[in-house]
Amino acid sequence: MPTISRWGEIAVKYLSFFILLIFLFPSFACAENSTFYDKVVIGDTKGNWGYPNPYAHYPRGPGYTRMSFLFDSLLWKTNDGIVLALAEKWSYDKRGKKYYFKINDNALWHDGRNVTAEDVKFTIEYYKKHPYGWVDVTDVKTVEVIGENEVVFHMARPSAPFIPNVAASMPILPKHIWEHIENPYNNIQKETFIGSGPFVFESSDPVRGFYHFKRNRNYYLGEVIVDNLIFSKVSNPLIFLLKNRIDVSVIQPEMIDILKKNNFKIINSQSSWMKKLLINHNEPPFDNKLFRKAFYLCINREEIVRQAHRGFAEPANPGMLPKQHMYYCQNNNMLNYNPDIAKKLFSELGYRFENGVMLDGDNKRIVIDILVSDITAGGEIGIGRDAEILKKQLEKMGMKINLLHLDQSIIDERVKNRKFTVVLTGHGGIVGDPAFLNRLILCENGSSVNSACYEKNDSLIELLREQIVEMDSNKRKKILCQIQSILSEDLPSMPLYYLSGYAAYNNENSPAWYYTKGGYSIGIPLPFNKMACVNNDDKE
Amino acid sequence: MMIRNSGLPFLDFKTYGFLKRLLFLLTSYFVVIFVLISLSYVVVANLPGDYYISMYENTSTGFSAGNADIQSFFQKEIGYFGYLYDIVTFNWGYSFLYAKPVLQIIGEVLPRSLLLVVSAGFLSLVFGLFLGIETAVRKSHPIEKISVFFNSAVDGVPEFVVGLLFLIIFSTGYTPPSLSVAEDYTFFTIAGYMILPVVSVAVANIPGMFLIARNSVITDMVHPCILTAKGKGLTDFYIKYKHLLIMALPPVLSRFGIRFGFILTGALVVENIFSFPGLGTLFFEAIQMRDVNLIRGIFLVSALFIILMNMLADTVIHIIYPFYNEKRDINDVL
Repeated sequence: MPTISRWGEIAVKYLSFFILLIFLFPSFACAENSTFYDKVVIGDTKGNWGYPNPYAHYPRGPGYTRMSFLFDSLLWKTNDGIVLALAEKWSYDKRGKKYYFKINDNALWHDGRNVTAEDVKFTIEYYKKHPYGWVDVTDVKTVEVIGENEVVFHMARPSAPFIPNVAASMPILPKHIWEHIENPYNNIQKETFIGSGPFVFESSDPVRGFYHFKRNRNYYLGEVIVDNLIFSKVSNPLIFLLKNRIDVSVIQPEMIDILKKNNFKIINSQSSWMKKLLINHNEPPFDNKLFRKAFYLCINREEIVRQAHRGFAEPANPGMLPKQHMYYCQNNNMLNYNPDIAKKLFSELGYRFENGVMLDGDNKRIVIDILVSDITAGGEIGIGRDAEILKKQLEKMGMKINLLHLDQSIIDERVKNRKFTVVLTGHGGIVGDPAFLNRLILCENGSSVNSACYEKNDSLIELLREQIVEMDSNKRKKILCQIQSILSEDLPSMPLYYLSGYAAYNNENSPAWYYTKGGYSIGIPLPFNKMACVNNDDKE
Repeated sequence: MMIRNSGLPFLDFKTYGFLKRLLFLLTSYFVVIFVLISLSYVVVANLPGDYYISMYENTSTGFSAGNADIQSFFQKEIGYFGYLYDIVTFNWGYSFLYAKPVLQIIGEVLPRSLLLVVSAGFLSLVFGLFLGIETAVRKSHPIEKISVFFNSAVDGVPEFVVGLLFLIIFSTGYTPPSLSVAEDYTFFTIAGYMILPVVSVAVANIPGMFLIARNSVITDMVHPCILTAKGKGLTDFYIKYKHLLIMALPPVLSRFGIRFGFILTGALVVENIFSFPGLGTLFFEAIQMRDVNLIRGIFLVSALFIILMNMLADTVIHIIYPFYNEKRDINDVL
């Protein structure tokens, strides 16, 4: 056995270490005990989407969705279009540029207080002071409370996307709680989860991807038919659905057949996610729109869909809006795969083809670097074959294509600093109000990294500015048709294909979920519309 | 043997040797930890992209991009010395992803990961030793040949491959594990969900232990003391699990200490396969979204535990073979 000094050595050695380590565990995971009666479990492969309050949820569809079960907005979107939520009456005064909302008298906060016009006024002011990433309230100049439950929004300018993107998206905050909160970002105190929605916050553990909401027994829009709503992380939705461990989940297209055989109900969204080539317009040769057109004509979108997605995708339109979008315009200039016209266009631009090699005016071979992001629908990573097929198609024309697979964050940074030529990337957010076109084309505050940053066509810029202030939807459609035809002429970015979302649910254990037409809120293509859990027959 | 004075009148040579060794140990651990902390700063600071860009700019839904208020909240740089100070004062910063202090998050998750790693490590150690001893004493027996072949083959297979295989094999019959879907954590739910991840990690690490234990036992078997034990009429079981086990332990334990780092990193990957809510899942997400404080926190904690396990293995060897160190100490001093 060791001697005394040996033990001493051991003791001191460990002591010094444990002094370091003892501070590492301020708390341990705690178990939660709740009795579950009738529960609906929603599976999710990613799990963590932040905490369900407006300032702590991730600025992504699933993050907003979790929050939306707790917080109601003035209006909401279902398959019937815009429906009433906290507002029981609303109207727009075109001449005065103002909206009138009458708040539902029965609406209560989860802590029992009434929802009042003051709360609505406070919400707008709070979002102006502490911007909320999901809703842009800059178009609202002031809010005036005109009665106990009546409120008027004075607009700075007419705003076409106001109803879907603000009134039907903006979670109303309880004034008596948030007025005491100085720094709202990532604030996760328990009272910040108090809203007026159909569910009451019970617990959440984003590390486990676990969210538990309980039924709101005093919901003003009708009876909530789900007692316990649970979001849970699962490694493979197919297995968990088949084992009845979860009741509904977004699924991959290849799971459809087996789930159908097992009597699951399969639903799908409209085209909701777009893969595209993002172009750097400041660099030759892509600064020339004829070159872009010729380049786009070399790409066989149908082949990519066939080979890389086994048909579970749809070739994209150069005008960006997918066919099912309410503002889509029939366009004859589809720029389908046509290598002959492409060659002719390239020759007109001074390029030559020798032995299958494409040369420029200085007899140098055309070499194009494409940064490849492996992002796929829902922000997930999926190593696809898109890039290899694209490379093969372009090299057939005689260009040399270098593919560079990079991590999404690295691509985002390079795009942000405009250090790229072409990027193969993708994004969602193409089903809602077409205000998203401005964010995807122009280069201003609020543009995402997926923006083409194309500001060389003044008439396009003007039309884009016009479409978001045009309140007449027929006139707006005409403007959007013009925009779409300019887009397919100028090609600020090159749309490749659209993906749809698929989901499966158990008919017996879960309410009838549905994909909302045009997506709920600002256009979220998920099947988890909270109104699927509310039985409001008696109210209508 | 002559015992020399340490040169300091108030210290006998043993205490002197002990203090010297202790000082050396503490200094070397201090240097290693300092290097680790610096490394965690440099590597993470040079990662392209940041949380704000990943979370708020790369979104086509919402208008949050370019919003100065949100940006200023999520973009903070403290600099190297600020970082050093924060680490030493146990102010390890705040995780944007989980809206909590990093140490609190790690404190919640670490017990689960440790349970996985320690039980898998222990299992692989026990099974490796058992198999090693049993096959070594049966030299040239078919069982030995089969297990040597099998273990050599499995030795090269990483944890995540084993995990994936298990997932495929068991997903048709046994309910696949995912701790997240359990509403309450009791001993049985945790144990049930942990079987596959633990076995995946253990299976991948058994061959390493087995091969070393077997080699060591084969060399020890010819030691005169074994012959004496046999001559004394001790039972086979007693000889195998008292004498041979103790003689085989030091090399196996040193390897275990070294391997522990690999067991830990292997477990981090396996966690992702089974959606096990531990450090690995957290780490993966933190890197993806550039939650710098969390990346640094998990990096440091894992590194500290690897050092700790090395120390532990080292100490167990010293306890079993005190004379190893006694000799070395005397040589150091004399």
